Amino acid sequence: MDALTSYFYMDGYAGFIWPAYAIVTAVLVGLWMISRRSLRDAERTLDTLSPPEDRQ
Amino acid sequence: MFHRFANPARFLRLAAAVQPWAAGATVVLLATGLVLGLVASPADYQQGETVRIMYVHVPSAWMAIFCYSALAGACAVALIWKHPLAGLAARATAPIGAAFTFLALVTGSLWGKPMWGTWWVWDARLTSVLVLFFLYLGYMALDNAFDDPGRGAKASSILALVGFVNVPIIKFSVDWWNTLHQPSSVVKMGGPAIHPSMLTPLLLMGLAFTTYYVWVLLIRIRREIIATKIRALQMRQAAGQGAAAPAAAPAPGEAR
Repeated sequence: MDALTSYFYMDGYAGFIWPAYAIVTAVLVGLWMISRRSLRDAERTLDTLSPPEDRQ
Repeated sequence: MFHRFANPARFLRLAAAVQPWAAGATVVLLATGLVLGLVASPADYQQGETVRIMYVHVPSAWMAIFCYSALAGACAVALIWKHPLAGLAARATAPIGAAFTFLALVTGSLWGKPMWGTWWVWDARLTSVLVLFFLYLGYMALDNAFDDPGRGAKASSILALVGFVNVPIIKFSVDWWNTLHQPSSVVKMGGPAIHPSMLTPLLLMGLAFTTYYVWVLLIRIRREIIATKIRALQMRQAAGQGAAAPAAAPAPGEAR
């Protein structure tokens, strides 16, 4: 077993460690993307309601 | 009417300045924390390689509690001083806190199976964190359950404040009751009971999760401020259309 395979094998605990990191990545990246898209959508709606030069 | 937006307008300028720094700090801290946690730090003498789950599990659990405290604090400010930004901050914090609580539960389960021999146990620590997750969900559901956002915010704020009693229960559950969960090894009398080679990546990941919270919170508060403006504009336009209609005999006053 080469060094990289043995690293990813994690002494037999790969099935617990990597899913933990995968789900954390998925949830944090997903929440960031949802939040950003929601902001963009709101900005677009505001632009249709009032042109930017009319604001404030 | 516009004086109410004065504070949020100032906040928007501040948010635009802070956001790139929060994003950059998150990326740098996460990269460093992950390299140290996944590669440089040693395996635990008892738990072996599974200790690496700690670097995402513990920061998630810290943030679950931190976000709920922030939520309850913001709700108190919104209820007592009617500060408009506090209500928006509370609403923006809840989904982030719920996400961290979910992650603490799932990564804890993935750590519990190889170390305790079970995915789940109904003990004090795990159950109180599950209750925290439901409190977040309840807050969000109640916040959106009313047509009038003001009434929804009031009802959900009261729920968040009552639910705050759960925070010390989570913190001290490992001391008050017999539990499979280990007691705190970082914040304790006599200093942390954890070697610097593991403490450093743990603290870096904790900081990274904190800057991530600030980053996403700013995005979400900006969204809530714009949503408030949209509602005000739509109400004004609806009132304007009402005034233009022939049936509207008396001159309508201000929108609202």
